[in-house]
Amino acid sequence: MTNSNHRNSFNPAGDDPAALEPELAALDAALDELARRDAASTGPGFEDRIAVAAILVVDAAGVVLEPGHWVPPSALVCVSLFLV
Amino acid sequence: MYALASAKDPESAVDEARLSGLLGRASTGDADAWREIVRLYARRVYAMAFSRLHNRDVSEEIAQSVLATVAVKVGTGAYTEQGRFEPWLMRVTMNRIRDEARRRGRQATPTDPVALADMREDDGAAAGAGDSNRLGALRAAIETLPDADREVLMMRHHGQMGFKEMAEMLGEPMGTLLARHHRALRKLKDLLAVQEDHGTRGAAPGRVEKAS
Repeated sequence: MTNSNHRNSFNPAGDDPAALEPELAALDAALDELARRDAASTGPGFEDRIAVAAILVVDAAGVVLEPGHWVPPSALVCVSLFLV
Repeated sequence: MYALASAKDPESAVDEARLSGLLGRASTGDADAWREIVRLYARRVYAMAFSRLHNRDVSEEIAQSVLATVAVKVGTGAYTEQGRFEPWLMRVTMNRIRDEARRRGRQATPTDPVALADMREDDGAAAGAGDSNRLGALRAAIETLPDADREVLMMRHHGQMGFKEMAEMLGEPMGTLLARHHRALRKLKDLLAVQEDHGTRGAAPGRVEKAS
């Protein structure tokens, strides 16, 4: 996941990188870097676990998982292996 | 074509027609469509939660819960696609994060380095372990911002939201959000300057007063 270097506070379309003063633009870029690090901090198989949970919910017509209840990753790994 | 992922990663950008098609297929239980929706959004949801809660397991739980909510609504026909999926998804995400923050009593997160270190040990897989000094200082400074400022930064950077989407989601004028983001950046800049000043004087780093 990467953010465009060309967006900034005053130009959501992201086509004018000069609209923020340099210090704030650097801070804006540092925040993007922090966000990339955080997004990359998931454990292995993250997206598979989330996708399997979503698919299970649809298959069960909303009965298997109620919002706010978590399926442990280990259980989803088992389900993933079964489905594969 | 209205770019739902405007001002964000071009690789993850999805236009309205494509997303509408994905949601339609997902509602019938199409596994590939769900995998694509998860690929587009799950990390952004996770990153937003992680930026606020600093814990991998809890953040993954929230990502799973949010996508499960989406699956229930889409799968049962309770969600009707009208080109507002992303603001809706992010609103669900923000509500879950706020609920969890309240539940965990994290509204006043400590900024003292010792307290933060204790918190990391408690959390096991918490934020900041591999940060450079610069990013660590930035993370500590963010924690001292008022919630409204922190949230606008979280939506913008971790959620990769465009200001138009944020305005739709919050029901506020886009100019207000642009100004709030700019103000939050300025506060961060000032906080980091204070931290740096304390550091050069030999004071304990990372301890900054809550910004107003």
